[in-house]
Amino acid sequence: MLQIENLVKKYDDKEILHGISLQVNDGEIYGFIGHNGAGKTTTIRCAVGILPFNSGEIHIDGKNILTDPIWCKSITAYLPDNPDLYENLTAVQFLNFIADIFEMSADKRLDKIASLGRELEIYDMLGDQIKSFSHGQKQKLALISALMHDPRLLVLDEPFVGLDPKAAFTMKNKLVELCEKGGSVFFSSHVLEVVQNLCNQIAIIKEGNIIMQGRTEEIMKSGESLEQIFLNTENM
Amino acid sequence: MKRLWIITKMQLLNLFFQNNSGKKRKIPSVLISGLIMFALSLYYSFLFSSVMETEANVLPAMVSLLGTAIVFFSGVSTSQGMLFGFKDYDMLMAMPLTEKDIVTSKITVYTITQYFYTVLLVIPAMIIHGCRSGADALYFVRAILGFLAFPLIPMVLSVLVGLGMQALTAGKRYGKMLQNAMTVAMIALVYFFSFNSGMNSADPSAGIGVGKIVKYIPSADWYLHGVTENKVSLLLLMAAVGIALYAAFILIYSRSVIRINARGNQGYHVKDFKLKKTAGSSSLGALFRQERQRYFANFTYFLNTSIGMIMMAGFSIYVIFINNPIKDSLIGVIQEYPEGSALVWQTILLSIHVVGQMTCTTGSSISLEGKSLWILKSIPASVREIFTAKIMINLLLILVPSLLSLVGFGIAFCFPPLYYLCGVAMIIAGALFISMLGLLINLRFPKLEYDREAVVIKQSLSAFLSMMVPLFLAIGIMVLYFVTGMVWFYAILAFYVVCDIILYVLLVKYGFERFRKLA
Repeated sequence: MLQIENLVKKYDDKEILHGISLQVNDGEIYGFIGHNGAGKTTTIRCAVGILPFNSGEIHIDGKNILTDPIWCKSITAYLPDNPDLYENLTAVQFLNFIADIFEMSADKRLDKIASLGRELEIYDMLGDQIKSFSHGQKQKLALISALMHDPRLLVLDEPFVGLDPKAAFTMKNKLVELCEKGGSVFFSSHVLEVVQNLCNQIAIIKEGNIIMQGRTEEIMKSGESLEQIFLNTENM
Repeated sequence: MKRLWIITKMQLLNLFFQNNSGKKRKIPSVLISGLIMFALSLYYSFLFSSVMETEANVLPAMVSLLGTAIVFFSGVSTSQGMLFGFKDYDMLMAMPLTEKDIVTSKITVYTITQYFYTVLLVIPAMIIHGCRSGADALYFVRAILGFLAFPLIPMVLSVLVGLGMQALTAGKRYGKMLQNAMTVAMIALVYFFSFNSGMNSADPSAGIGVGKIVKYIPSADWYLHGVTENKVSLLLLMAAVGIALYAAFILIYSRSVIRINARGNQGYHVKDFKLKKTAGSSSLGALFRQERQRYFANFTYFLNTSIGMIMMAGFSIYVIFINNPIKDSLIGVIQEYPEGSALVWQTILLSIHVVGQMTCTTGSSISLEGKSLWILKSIPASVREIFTAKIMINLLLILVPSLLSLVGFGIAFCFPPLYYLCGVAMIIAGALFISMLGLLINLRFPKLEYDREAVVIKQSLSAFLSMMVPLFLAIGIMVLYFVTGMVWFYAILAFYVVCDIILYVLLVKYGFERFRKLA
């Protein structure tokens, strides 16, 4: 579903990503971990077509993000770590904006907004201005906007930050649900326990290089926790 | 005291010393902009005083009036975000700072900002007037010392109006719309009053009109007569009233700052929300709607870009119904001399065009995406659609009032059909020009990191250039028109059409790529 090959990204003359390669298969949840400044967000932003990159290739469902950006984006949803939304709109206006962009029918959007709104417990607030939302509520709203158009690839940057335990649980279920339907999830997180329990594949990035990647069970075959494995990579 | 200095210094640095590249420059951009504005102010003051040579004191009268208006109207919008509903409220309140420190720093920063812009307008004009009229050294002392108290009264009044608006509109569903409507009504009232008290005179001399209006604005009147007529008592009166009002403002503000800011930045809530079925629209429609909502929800954005157009449209309607000696004499010229008729209608069209060139929403529209730029970049909408939506809102804001003005002036002065034909062409060409130019400028100088949207709309390089470049170009062209004669009108029209084509090509060739690289 998502294929990144030899991705190189520079900011001015400084190279941030030194040729990253990874592959997220259909029906898989892929966890992407690394310490602050390792290059997780940069990789994710390149993958969803927000950041241009210097060399390498990114394909979503076989199509190149540079040559077919609209098609790639039409089957992808992205949720940033700190979703800054259009604060002057009401939540439902924002969701209708997203629904229009993804060409959702009136019936489908009504159904999706209502069900996801109730599931994430912000239905009663959908008429409120986004400005009045807390960080967690904005996160939930952004999650609804990401899930409502049934993306085939969901890319999330630190999705559990700011969510209450129930919402975090709902989100985990949603990710699994999406993968069971054949979709794929690629997300970064510092919550290693969640990554360990949820992901089929894991990659560890350090200073712009992937230093470890593979299926979760392979990475964890030593019997150590993901936290211990991650801490061991500090010496690599 | 040390902490007060630290937070005040940081806020001033954040306000005046930001730049787009994030790199430290040897000469701060605020200093460069200030010098450019000071030089421009000197130049235009000189030009103005040369043209109005016969009118004594018309330049100081004009700047006293303009200075007061600028402090007042910019104060209404600047106070919101700087004094009320400031975003660093939580951060500051959580720090080991006294409430007094926070209040003092906010007031200091606000006051310095207001003085900064006013000094660039008033002092150069007073210097030019003093030099040209051969004033003695004491005149300059009075002008500079008097200036220290000059902005105080309009500044306090603007804060009071801003506070009133905030109280009436904060947390209300149609609060922003109400705020915009109140501002338009307030400015219309000022216009109406000015027109009827000063300009509605058989005497075409602008100087006399300005002098009449100044009489109704005490602070401007005191400063003008105090400086130019050596009436120190008036300057002392202005200082006393100003300081008393300013002290009262500090007292009221310091007592209510927490209450105001606690509710100032919150959005509105709806009780008993019911989800309704909504018909879908195209991507372009959705993008346009989002742009429109952002525009009308932003008071500063609206105030900075639409007021001129709305006032002009209102004025054109007003002109249809009034009986005015200037209007009658113009109609006389139009009826008696066909050549004079062309001169009048072409001048009116160029005037509509100049006002239109002051309406540039695209100059900040990319910057205003700010941290939410990720939305536009991650949705399946093409750059062409995104740009079209941004340009469409600018076109709408120019075309509707411009066409209304065209019809209004056309009816009022019974212009021939050619007037309408040329008018429509000129308005469309000019609107496309400013919309595309603004977008290109903003793509070249985007400012995506800021704490208040007002910083982008009022203080960014892009906003400054997209306002000044087309405006000076339009004014220059108008001057050229008067110097060279009417034949140039069609050349001007052709110039804008050619520019539109060039700008479109630039937008496609350069702008699309530039947007893709933004992050």
